[in-house]
Amino acid sequence: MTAWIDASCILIVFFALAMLATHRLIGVIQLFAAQAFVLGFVPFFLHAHDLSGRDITLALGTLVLKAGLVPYILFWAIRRVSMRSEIKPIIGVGASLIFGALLIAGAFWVSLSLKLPGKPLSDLILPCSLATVLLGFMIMVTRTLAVAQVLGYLMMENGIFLFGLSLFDAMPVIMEMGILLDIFVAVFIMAIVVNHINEAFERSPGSNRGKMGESG
Amino acid sequence: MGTLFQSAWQVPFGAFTFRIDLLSAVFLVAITLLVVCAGIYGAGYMRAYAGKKPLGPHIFFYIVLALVLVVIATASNVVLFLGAWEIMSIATYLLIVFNDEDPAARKAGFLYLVMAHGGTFCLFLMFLLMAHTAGSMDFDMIARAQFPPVIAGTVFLLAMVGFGVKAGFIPGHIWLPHAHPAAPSHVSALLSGVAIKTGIYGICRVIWMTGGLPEWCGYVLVLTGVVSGVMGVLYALGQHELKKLLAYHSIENIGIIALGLGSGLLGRSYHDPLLTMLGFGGALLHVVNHSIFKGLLFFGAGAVIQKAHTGALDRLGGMAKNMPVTAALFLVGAVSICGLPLFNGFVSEFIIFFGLFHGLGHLPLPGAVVCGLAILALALMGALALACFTKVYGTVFLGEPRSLPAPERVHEVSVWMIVPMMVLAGLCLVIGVLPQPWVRLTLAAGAYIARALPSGVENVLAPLAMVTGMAAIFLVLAFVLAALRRLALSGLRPMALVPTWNCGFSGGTGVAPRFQYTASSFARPVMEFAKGVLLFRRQAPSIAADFPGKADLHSSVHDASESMLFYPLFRRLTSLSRRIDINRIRYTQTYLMYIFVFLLVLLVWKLK
Repeated sequence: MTAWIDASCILIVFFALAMLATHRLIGVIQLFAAQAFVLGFVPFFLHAHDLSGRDITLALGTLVLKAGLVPYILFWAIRRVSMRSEIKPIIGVGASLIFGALLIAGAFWVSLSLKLPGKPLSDLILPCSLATVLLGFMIMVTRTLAVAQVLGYLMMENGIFLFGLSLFDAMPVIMEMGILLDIFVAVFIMAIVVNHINEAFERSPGSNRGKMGESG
Repeated sequence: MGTLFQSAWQVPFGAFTFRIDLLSAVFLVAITLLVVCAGIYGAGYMRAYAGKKPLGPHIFFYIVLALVLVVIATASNVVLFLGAWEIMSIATYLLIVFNDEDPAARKAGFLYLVMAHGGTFCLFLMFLLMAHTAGSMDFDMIARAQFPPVIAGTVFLLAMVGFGVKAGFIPGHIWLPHAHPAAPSHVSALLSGVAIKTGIYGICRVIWMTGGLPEWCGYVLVLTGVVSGVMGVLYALGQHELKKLLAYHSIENIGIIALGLGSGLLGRSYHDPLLTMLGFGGALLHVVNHSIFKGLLFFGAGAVIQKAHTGALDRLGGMAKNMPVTAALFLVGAVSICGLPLFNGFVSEFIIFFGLFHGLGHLPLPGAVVCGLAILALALMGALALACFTKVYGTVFLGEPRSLPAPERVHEVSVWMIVPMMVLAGLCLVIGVLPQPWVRLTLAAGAYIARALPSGVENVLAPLAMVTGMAAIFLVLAFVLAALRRLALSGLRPMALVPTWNCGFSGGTGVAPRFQYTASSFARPVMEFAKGVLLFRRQAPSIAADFPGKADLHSSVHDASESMLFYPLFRRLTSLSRRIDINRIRYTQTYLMYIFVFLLVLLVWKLK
C-alpha cells in the first residue's frame, strides 16, 4: 500500500504546482477537484488492512465535499459572476513555477528534521503535505481574484488534511475539524457570489476596501 | 486541598484539574452570591429592552461569564486558568458593549479589551516563568517548588501588573471608570463585585504558590493599596456621574484589599503569624463584603438611572420620595461602604486595622512605618468615603428633583429588582451584626494563604464584638432620644411641610430645585484641599458688575494616569502603526506575503 500512498502524495503536489501555474479559473477549479479526488482515497490506503467506519466516513466526506460540492459551487459562482481568468496576475507562469519548485524543495529539506509521534506509513506524506500548504499560501499571495484566493485557501486545507492523516490516530478531532472548515468555506463562497465580489479586496489605490486596518 | 475533578485534556500541558480550598471557597461565596442576585436583578432590568434589542446573546454571555468565573476560582492548572481568564475577558467585553449604539460604550469596551489583553500578556510571562522553575503546570506542584528570590520577585511584579490591571490598581485602572457606566447595571455590579476580584484572587493564588517572596513585595503591595485607595476615593469625590463615581469607589476598595494583602505579606515575610492571618483574612473578608455592598449600590444606581433616565448627579434629586424602598436599600449599601459599625464594611476594615496596629508594634522599623502610613491612609479613605456618600445620597435621594423630565412619573422599580437588593442589604446587616462565623472562615482562609493554621482568632473577635455592641447601644440611644424629642415637641405646634432647600420662601415649589446645594459644591472644599495631587479644573466666571448676567460654572477632575500616561502612549502607538500601515501594508496580498515569509523563516529557523 505504501506505493499507492506515495503515488497519491506526488499527484497531490503535482496538482498543486499545476494550480499555481494555471491562470484560467476553470482550469484551477478542475485541478483542485482532481487533487481533492486523489486526497479522498488516501484514508483507504492508509488503513487498507483494517478499514474502520471512521476511515470510510472521512474519505466519503472528503470526496463529496471537496471533490464534488465545492468545485460545483465554484463553477456555479464563476458562471454567475461571469469571470473567467486572471486579468493582471502578480507574477507570471515561469516565475510561479520556479518559486513553486523552490518551495517544494524547501518543504522536503525542512521536513527531514521534523519528527512525528509514531511511524508514518510513507516518508512522503510529511514533505508533500508541507509543500501543498506552502503552495496554497503562494496562490493566496499571488492571485487577485477572490475565488482564486479561496482556492488557495482550500489547497492549504488539503495540505493540512494530508498532514493530519499521518497523525490520524494521535489527534482524534483534527480531521473532523477539517470537514467543518470545508463547510465554512462553502458558505464563504456563497457570500462572495451573493455580494458580487469580483475582485478580491480591490487593488485600486482609490478604494478603501482593500486597505487593511485603516477603517478600524 | 480537595480535588473535585481531574481529567486529561488534549491541549498541550493542559489538564482539567479543579480543586477547592479555603481560598477558592471564599471567592466562590462571593461569585455565587452576586451572580445569582445580579441574574435576578438583570431579569427585571432588561425587561425595559425586551422587544427593542435581541437579549439572547446578552443572556448567553452572562451565563458564560458566570461559569468561567467559577472555573477561574477552582482551576488548578495553568492552561485551564489562562483559558478561562481569556474567555472571561471576552465575555465581559461583550456584556459591556450591550448598548453598542452608543459610541462611548464601544470605546469603553475596546479600552477594556486592550487593557485586559495587555494584562494577560504579563500573566503568560508570569506563569511560564513559574512553570519553568517548578517543572509543572499544576498549581499544587508549583506551590511545592522553591523559587529563587529574583524569580519570585519577577513573578510578583508580573502578577501585580497582570492581575492588577484586572483588579484596578492605579494606574492600571483606567478601563474601570469607563466600562462600569457603559455596561447595564447588573453587569456593572458583577464587574465591580466579582470580575475585578478575580485579579485579587490571582494575586492571592500567586502569594500562596510562591512561599519565599522577598520582603519588598509586601511594601510594594501596601503602597499600591494606599495609592489606589486614597486616589480612588478622591477621584470618586470629583465625579458627576453616579456609576462612574461608584466605579472609582471600586478602585478605593480594591486599594483597601491590596493594603490588607500587603500587610499580610509583610507579616509572612517577618514571620508574624497574627499579622499574616489578619492581613490576608481581613482582605478576603473585604472581598466578600465589597461584592455585597457594591453589588447593592450598583443595583440601586441602576434602579435610579432606569427610572430617571440619567445618571448625572446634578440632574437627579428627591428620588427618596418616589422610590422609598430603593432609597432605603441604597442607604444600607452606602453606610456599609463607608465602613460604619453594625454594617459589614466595618468588620473587614476593623480586622485590617487591628492587624496594622499589631504590625505597628511588632514589625522592624520600616515595616512599622509602613503600617503607620497604612493606618492613616485607611482612616482617610473612610472619612472621604463618608463625605462622598453623603454627597451621593444627599443629591440623588434627598432634596427636590433638579431637572427630571417628569418627577411625578418616576416610581418604584419592579419586585425582580427589589428582592436581590433586599437580599444583599440583609447580608450587609447580618455580617455587620453577627460577624463571628464569617470572620472565622476568612481568617482561616487568610492563614491558609500563608499555609498555616488560624490561631488567636478570639483575640480579634472579642474587641470586635465589644465595638459592635457599643455601636448598637449608641444607635438605640440615638433612636430613643429622637423619639423622646418628637414626643416632647408633638404637643407644641404643628410643623409646616415645605419643600427642602426652599430657603424660607413659603409656597411655590418653582424656586427650590435651583436653590439646592449641588454635588460639585459639596465636594469642592475637599477638592481644593487635594489640589496638590489631583488634576482639579474649575472654570468659574468672575463677577465684575453689580448685576451680573447669566453665568456657568464647570468643575472636573481628570484622571492623571489616563490623561498623562496611557492616552499619550496610545496616541503614540496609533501614529506609529498608522505610519507602518500606510507605507507597507496596503494590499491583502502584500499582507499575506508578510505572513508567508515570516512563516517560512520560522519553519527554517526552528527546524534547521
